[in-house]
Parts: sequence; C-alpha cells; structure tokens
Amino acid sequence: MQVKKLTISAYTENVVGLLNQITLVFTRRHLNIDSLNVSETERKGISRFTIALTTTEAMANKVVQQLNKIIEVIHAEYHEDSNLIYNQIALYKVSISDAKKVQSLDSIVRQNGATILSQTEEYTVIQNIGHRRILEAFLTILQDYGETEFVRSGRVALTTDGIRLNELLPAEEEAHLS
Amino acid sequence: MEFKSNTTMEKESLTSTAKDVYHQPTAQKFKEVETISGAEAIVRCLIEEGVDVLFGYPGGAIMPVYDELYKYQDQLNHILVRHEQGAGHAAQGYARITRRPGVSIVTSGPGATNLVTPLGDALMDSTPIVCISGQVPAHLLGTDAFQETDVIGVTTAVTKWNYQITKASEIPEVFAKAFYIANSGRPGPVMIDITKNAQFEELEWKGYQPNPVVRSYKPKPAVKMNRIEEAAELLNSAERPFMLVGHGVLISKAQEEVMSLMEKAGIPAACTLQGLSAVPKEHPMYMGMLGMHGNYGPNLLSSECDVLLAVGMRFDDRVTGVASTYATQAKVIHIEIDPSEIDKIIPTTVAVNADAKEALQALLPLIKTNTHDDWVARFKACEIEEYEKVIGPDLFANTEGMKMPEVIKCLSDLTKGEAIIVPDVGQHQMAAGRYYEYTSTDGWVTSGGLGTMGFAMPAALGCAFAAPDRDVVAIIGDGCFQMCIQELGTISQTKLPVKMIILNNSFLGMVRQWQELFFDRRYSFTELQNPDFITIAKGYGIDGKTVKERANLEQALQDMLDHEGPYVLELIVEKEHNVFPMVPAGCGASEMRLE
Ligand SMILES: Cc1cc2nc3c(=O)[nH]c(=O)nc-3n(C[C@H](O)[C@H](O)[C@H](O)COP(=O)(O)OP(=O)(O)OC[C@H]3O[C@@H](n4cnc5c(N)ncnc54)[C@H](O)[C@@H]3O)c2cc1C
Ligand SMILES: Cc1ncc(C[n+]2csc(CCOP(=O)(O)OP(=O)(O)O)c2C)c(N)n1
Repeated sequence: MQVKKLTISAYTENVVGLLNQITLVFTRRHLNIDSLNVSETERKGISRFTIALTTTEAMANKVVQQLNKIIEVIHAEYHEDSNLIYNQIALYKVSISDAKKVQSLDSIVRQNGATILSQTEEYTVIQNIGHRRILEAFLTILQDYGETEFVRSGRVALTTDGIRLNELLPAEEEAHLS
Repeated sequence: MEFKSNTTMEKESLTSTAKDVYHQPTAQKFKEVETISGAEAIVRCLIEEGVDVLFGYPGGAIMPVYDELYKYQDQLNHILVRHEQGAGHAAQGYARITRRPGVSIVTSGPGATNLVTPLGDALMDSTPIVCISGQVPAHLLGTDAFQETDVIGVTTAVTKWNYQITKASEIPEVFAKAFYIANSGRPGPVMIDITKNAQFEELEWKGYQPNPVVRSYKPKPAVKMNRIEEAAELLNSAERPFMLVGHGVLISKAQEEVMSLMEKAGIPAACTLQGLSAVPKEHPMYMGMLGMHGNYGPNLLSSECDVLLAVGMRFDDRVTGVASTYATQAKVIHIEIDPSEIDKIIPTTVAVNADAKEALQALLPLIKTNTHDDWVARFKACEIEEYEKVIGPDLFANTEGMKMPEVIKCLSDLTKGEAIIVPDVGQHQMAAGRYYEYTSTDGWVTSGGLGTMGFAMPAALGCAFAAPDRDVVAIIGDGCFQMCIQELGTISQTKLPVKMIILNNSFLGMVRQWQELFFDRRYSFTELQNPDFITIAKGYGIDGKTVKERANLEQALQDMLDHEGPYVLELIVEKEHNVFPMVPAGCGASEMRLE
C-alpha cells in the first residue's frame, strides 16, 4: 500500500498525561510523527490534536482506532490533504545590518506575503504562514541575505468534511454535565 | 444437550459470600455528609463497589490506607501476599471467575513497579483489575523523593486507564470511574496512584455514585441490525461454516448463545486458548482448540471453511500462524466489542462491533435450522487421525515416566470436568488446555497474551476466593513454580484449599522443545536443578507428596482433591516429551504438524 501524507485530528479532554498516551500509540508501532499541534478548541476543556505523519491509510486507520481507545479521546479520525485546510507558521531571524540589504529584504518579505515582526540594527525577525514547502523555500531565499535562525510550528488544520465537535458532544449535554 | 452454566451458579454462590461482609444497603451504611480522611474514603469506595477481598502489600506511602483497612477488617478482607506481583495475579484470578474487578493495593516505588507484570498481563487478557498505589506527598512529586517512581509514566503503556489523585476530594469520583472503566466494554486494568497527603487530607463524604458518565468513553456499541442481517445471510447460505470462540464469549457470558447457534445452524466450533471451557468438550459440535498447539481439525480446516464466524477473539498470532495466509478463502464475520480489533489482523466481510451476547441474541432468530454433516465429518476424520498419531500415544503411554497428558486426563475424570483449572505457562499449560475435558462452561484461567510464568499460583488463590465451592487446581511447571513460589506463604496463611500440581520435567520444557526442534537440540540454559519442592511446601505448612509411578497417579490425585486445605502434588514426568501437534513458527495454521 502507498505511503502518503496524512493528518490525524483528535478531539480530547484536556487532562494531564494525555500527550504521553497519544505519543505512545505512535512509538509502539515505531512511527515517526512529522508534526504535532495541540490547542484548546472553541469548547472550554476540550483540546484538539493535529498530528501529521507519512504512512499508509491502513496504518493510519489502525492508529486512529487505537487513539479512539484512549479513555479521554473523544474522537479521532484521519484525513488526506485534499480534505483539509491547513497551514503552518514560521519565524525567521535574519542577521543583517547592511542598510542596502535590509531594504531589498523588506521587498522580498512583501512579495512573499510575509510580515516583519521586529527589526534592530543587527537582525530582522520575519513571520510567514503557509504550507511547509513554501516556508522552507522562503528560508533558502532568506539565507542569501545572512545567517538565518528558523522555527516552524506544527500543522494546524480544519477539515472540510470531518465530524464536528457539536455532533460528538451536543452543547446541552455538556451543560448538563458540568 | 443440556449443560449447566457455571456463570449463573457462580453468581449465586458469590452473592452469598459477599453478603457476609456487605450486608447493609448503601443508603443506611454511611451518614449523609461526613468529614472523613482520604484514606477512609478509599476504603469506603471499595466497600461501595462491593469489593469483599483485596490483595496487597503495605509500605510507607500507603500506610494511612492500611490503618483504615485495620479498622474495616470486618467488611473488607485484606490478603497479605508475599510479593506485589502475586497481589496483581491474585486479583486477576478473582476477576476472571467473578467477572468483577479484582483489587490490589501496594506502596509507592518498588511496590508499584512490582505490579507492572500483572498490569501488562491483565491488559493483554482483557481482565478487569483496579490497582491502588501509594505515592509520595504531592509537594515532593518530581523531586526524586524516597521511593518515588513516576507510576503514571511507567504504567501508561500497561493500563486501560490510570490516574494520579493528589487531593482527597477527588477520591470518590476517581474510584467510581476506575471501577466503571475496568469492567465495562473490553475489560482491562486500571491503576490509581494516590499521593500520601491525599490520604491524610479530609473530605466531605457525600455518598458514592457508581458507574459515572464518562463523556469521552462509549464502551458498549449498540447492535446494528443491518450487520446482523448480513451476518445471518452469510451463515444461512454457508456450506462449510466454522466458528471461533474466544475469551470475549466468557467475558460477555454468551456461552448459552454460542451453543444455541452451534446447534441451530449446525456450525462446528473451536475455542482459542483463552476461550477454553466456553463450550463443554463433549458438545457434538465442539471440535477442540485452535492455534499453535491446538487440535488438528480446527487448524487444518481453517483453510477450507467458506464462512468464518469469530466471536470475542482477536486473531492472536498463536491462532493464525502467518496471518496473511489465514482463512483467505473464507468470508469473515467478526463479532467484537473493541473496534480497534476489527480488521486489525484479518480483514472482515461483515464486522459486528458489539457485545457478543447481545449480538448473538439478535442473530439467533434470523438463523435457519441447518446441518452440515459432511463438513462436520471432515473434522471428525481429523480427530481420528490426531487420536491415532498423538492423543492415543499421549494418553496411553508405554514410556517409563508419566506424560503430562495422562495426568490431566486423570484429573479431568476425577473432577468430572467441573474444576477451575489454572495452568501456568509452558508445556504443562498446553497439555492442560488440550486434555482437560470441561463439562462446565467457565473454568479456565491462564495467562495467554503475555504468557507470564508464575501467574498460576497467585491466580489460583484469587480463584479460590471467587469460587469457594469449587475445586481450584493450579497446574504448574517446575520452572514456573519457582517464579512466584513465595505465594505458598500467602496460600498457607489463608488456608484456602488451593491444589497445586507440579509437572516436573526438570526442564524449561517449552523452550527445550523449541531448542530440540528448531535449534538442533542445543539445550542452552534450559535444564534446571530443582529444590525439594515438598520440603519447601512443608516449610510453609502446606502438605504435599511426590509421585513418580503411573500406578500411583490416580490415588495421589484423589488424595490431593480430598485433602482439606492447600496441597502440593509433585509429579515427575518424562523429561523430554514434546507437545504435538504443532504449527511451526513461520507457517500457516493449516500447515500444522502431527509429529
Ligand atoms: C505458551 C503459549 C502457547 C499458546 N498457544 C496457543 C494456541 O495454541 N492456541 C491459542 O488459541 N492460543 C494460544 N496461546 C494464547 C494466545 O497467545 C492468546 O492469548 C489467545 O489466543 C487469545 O485468545 P482470545 O483472542 O480468545 O482472548 P483475548 O486475547 O482475551 O481477547 C478477547 C477478545 O474478546 C473481545 N471481547 C471482550 N469482551 C467482549 C464482549 N463482551 N463481547 C465481544 N467481544 C469481547 C476483546 O476485545 C478481545 O478482542 C498461547 C499462549 C502461550 C503462553
Ligand atoms: C516470565 C517469563 N519468562 C520467560 C518465559 C519464556 N518461557 C515460556 S514457557 C517457558 C518454560 C516453562 O518451564 P516450566 O515451568 O518448567 O514448564 P514446562 O514447559 O516444562 O511445562 C519459558 C522459560 C515466560 N513465558 N515468562
């Protein structure tokens, strides 16, 4: 079976130790995670894990089942990129002091739809948002200007067809439980 | 055919034993709102859950709870084991017979880490246990305090759920959740780690609410009728149907439904190792045991059936051999409560994600009465071949020494197939599985998934607490006997009539067999110099005897069964006898070898 880029999305209770339980499902099967993001959802107390990995659909399916088995996981499912709207954010710190170069950097930033977050005499910090390929290509461009420190977030994604939190946990059920 | 179901028998006998300690209805027992210590709350939670016995070992971090156990002695029977591993396995044995959570309680650090093996064992074998460990005070967590181990970290991979309590007020809710999770859906082990400050702190006891709603946890999927209809259609049109009966049948107490289906649809059936005893051996549609050391027909004909109905079993590799070749010609119906087991190993045609009993009850009315005489005759033919080549020579041996199978057969006859059999792990386990002839429908407790040597002795003690009116016989290899030998002390102190048979071949026999067959007889570190087991037993105050001659076997077994209290019977058996038939590693199930 073909290996693809797949993204697992999981709604969970926000409890101590859950991250550990989730990553164990991957370590057990010797799977490497490409990126991981955890954040609170629109609902207080409920988190959303977004886990990108490269594997077969059959494996993703088994992993999702195993994730669903964790008591505090409300629902997990996987998606292909075509069913996702996703992005990553990257920050770049370019060491550059030559005024001329700074000017041309400013225009490169604008052309690429990035933003300058902070600028001093020694460095410029730039933020860019996009898919991984683009963020990495932008890094190569910046590296021509000077030594560049780079950090990229995990993927955040919303699905076009995935199950919604409200279907899983109707709002009134939550009200009556809390 | 009528077989009595021990599940119902069991229930009655249980309520009567539990009643002595659990006599008052909840509401009257404790006042409405009281201020009590966390430690006392823990004990009350256990009583509220109907726990009548727990197995444990004290130490610094759990002492406040032990102090309460002292006060509540008339209501909760605490059994002091000799090693925490024994506490875990005893709780497992108790749970496997009562189908209610077994409980063990230990101290922090080494106490908790000694429970890792039973937790892993219970997770693999879907056994509900609730384990409680003391922990250093909350303000010392993470500081490498004396006897601190990250219990949540260590046990996450071997539990269904775990939780660390750091405040007394959490206790009632967490305990209710723990018991509920342990024994609902697919049962499993739960670990609760409790910091010492939470045991000392006070809380307002407002009563106890069992089976709480856990919104992220949906343990029991509803039966989907369209799936049942699809399954019925496949079964009704099958020419060579075959049913695989697993441990899930015992867990959901679906033995009667399984037998009704076998009879109505004329489906031959075989049990996994863990499913053994779900169907009595003399049932005309029962074809034996599946898997590596199972019976010939159920393995061979797995590659010829046209519809394979798997109920409450997880297609372990000891059952399938090389899974990619297993029953590929068959349409597969899988009745299974845990969705992650469906399509995990064997692709299904019809997946029925439901409790076995509920699914079978829905299925039965849709099943047409049918017979498959020619197909059943194929199994019978295999049985004859297996009898000639293996079973006959096993049972009527002309070797000088006794063989394990003849011991088991004799025990089976003397106990009329009604005993609870608790084998350890190895050749003796396979002999017990193959040759004990169940007439009851719930009497087999062994470590299957993890295959934990040392399981049997403490587990048998747990069984003896669970079923005081039944014979409990542990069948143990000479290697296994020395893995939890210290629990002789526990058994002696409880005086419960746990009967222990040592099948002594002076080898780690199962490993030796593999060395003989697959490593050119290089017996690398598998021969044992054994102690005098009976002297040891006697040292613990347990009576026993060693028997070498076949002629004395029956009398010795009878004496053991008649003996009041625990007993160790050491039987010297053939040193190099092999368990056959066998599916060699790397082969498919249908490539089973008879010799
Ligand atoms: C030395 C050795 C040799 C062995 N040889 C063999 C052998 O020859 N043959 C053999 O079969 N095994 C053998 N085993 C055991 C093997 O490793 C497995 O433990 C065993 O096959 C598992 O059986 P099971 O799937 O029925 O039970 P389990 O592993 O306990 O699985 C039970 C299944 O039932 C499901 N379930 C639970 N509750 C319900 C419910 N209410 N409704 C529906 N489903 C439910 C569970 O989710 C699970 O999938 C051997 C073990 C050892 C140590
Ligand atoms: C804790 C543990 N260690 C090692 C093993 C591997 N193992 C499986 S069976 C076996 C031999 C058991 O020997 P014995 O108790 O003498 O039983 P026999 O096979 O001779 O009947 C061993 C070492 C195991 N299952 N469990």
